[in-house]
Amino acid sequence: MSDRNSPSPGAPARHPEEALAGFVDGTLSEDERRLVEAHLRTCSACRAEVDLAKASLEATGALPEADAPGLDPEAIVHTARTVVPLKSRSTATGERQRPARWLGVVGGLAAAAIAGVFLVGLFRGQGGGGSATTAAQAPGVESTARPPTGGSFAPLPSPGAVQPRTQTAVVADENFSRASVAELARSLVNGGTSDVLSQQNGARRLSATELGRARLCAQGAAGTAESPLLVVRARFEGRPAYLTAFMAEGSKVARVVVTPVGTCTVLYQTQYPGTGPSPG
Amino acid sequence: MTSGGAHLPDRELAARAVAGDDGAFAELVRRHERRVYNLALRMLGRSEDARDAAQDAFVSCYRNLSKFRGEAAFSTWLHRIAVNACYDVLRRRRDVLGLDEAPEPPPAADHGDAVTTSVDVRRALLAIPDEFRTVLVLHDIQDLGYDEIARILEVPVGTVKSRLHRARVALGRALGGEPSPPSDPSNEGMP
Repeated sequence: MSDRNSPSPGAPARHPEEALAGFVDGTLSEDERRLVEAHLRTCSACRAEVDLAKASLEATGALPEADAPGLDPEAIVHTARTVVPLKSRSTATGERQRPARWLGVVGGLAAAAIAGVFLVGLFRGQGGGGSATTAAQAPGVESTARPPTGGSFAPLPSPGAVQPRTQTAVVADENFSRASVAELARSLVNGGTSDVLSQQNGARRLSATELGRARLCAQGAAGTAESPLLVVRARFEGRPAYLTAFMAEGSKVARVVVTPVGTCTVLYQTQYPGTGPSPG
Repeated sequence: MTSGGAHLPDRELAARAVAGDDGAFAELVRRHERRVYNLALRMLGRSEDARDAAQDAFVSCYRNLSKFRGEAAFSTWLHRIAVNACYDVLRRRRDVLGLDEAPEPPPAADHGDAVTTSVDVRRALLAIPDEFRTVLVLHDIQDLGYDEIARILEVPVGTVKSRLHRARVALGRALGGEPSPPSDPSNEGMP
């Protein structure tokens, strides 16, 4: 680019970037076009850029248009009416806000989650999830849909007390029920090393965006900034959903938050405040 | 939801939606979702991210409909919301991964592109700075004019033109396998 900063003798000192766009588009007036052409005769850098711009225009012109995604207006209206917007979101008028500082901290853990995959088969072989241990067998389990406020859950220990173990980020076909979510919380507390899902069932890693969305939704729901140990994209009662699990090792508490894909509505939360050996 | 008013202009539908007619809002979604989705698809690369961003954009649109005064075209206003939804996705991507580099490239042929060159173009698009890509997508792919893009982005028309030229040059270089030289989209000529 050094030649762009040292125009040829006789060339205008400033490269006419604004006019070059119109030149490539063919929208300049005759006088403007002649001025640009005069500049191009003396400026090899701008000639090269015009060639690049024309190549770009040709390439993008060949891109096909994708079909409409078939969004569900009712779901959009429901989300708009019921979901509390995340504070990190931009506003409609264009203000952009800095992300919460803790996001940078959990970012490293997310990268670790993506880098390593895991998994097990606690629920393997359980068709619809309905055969999982029932909620009644797991004392302390709550089964309520809550707004993302943290509700009545007792605060988890500080992030420093959390000892992240395996972090899971997969997509799978397992169809979780309320009972199987409760079972997931229970198994985490009782030493389950998250033999939760298997990549064998068409699972794939979550994209960074999916992982980030699930994390933000769940943390908003839980009212904490702790790093989730487990982020799973699955199905919950037949609907695409994320399951995000938080666990405080020291106090043997696990919380699992279920959110639908694409929004931050909390579908379901469960908590298992285990305090000792597995109750069963 | 009530039925929708396919014959009504956007502004009238928006007014009806504000008054509680969800059918009118549904018509707005149907009318504009393809453009919003295609904008997001070219901004973000991955179809699932584009769908999320499109949904987010319409959620934000619904929430803010009462603020739509009608000074600008509804589509201009909606495009502004959609661009911001895309920036949100891009920011979350970087926040979560702590990466400043290009996002994951799109998987090959995930939405029907038949030729390898199309995949190359999509990858190259993701390699140029976001603010350059925005102008390029709006102008060269969505066929919006300089003036409307200036209103969408709330920048001077001259900035749109210079940004568009830089974007094309950057994409041309990316297509040729050249790394883009460091570019600061904020360092732009003013009109």
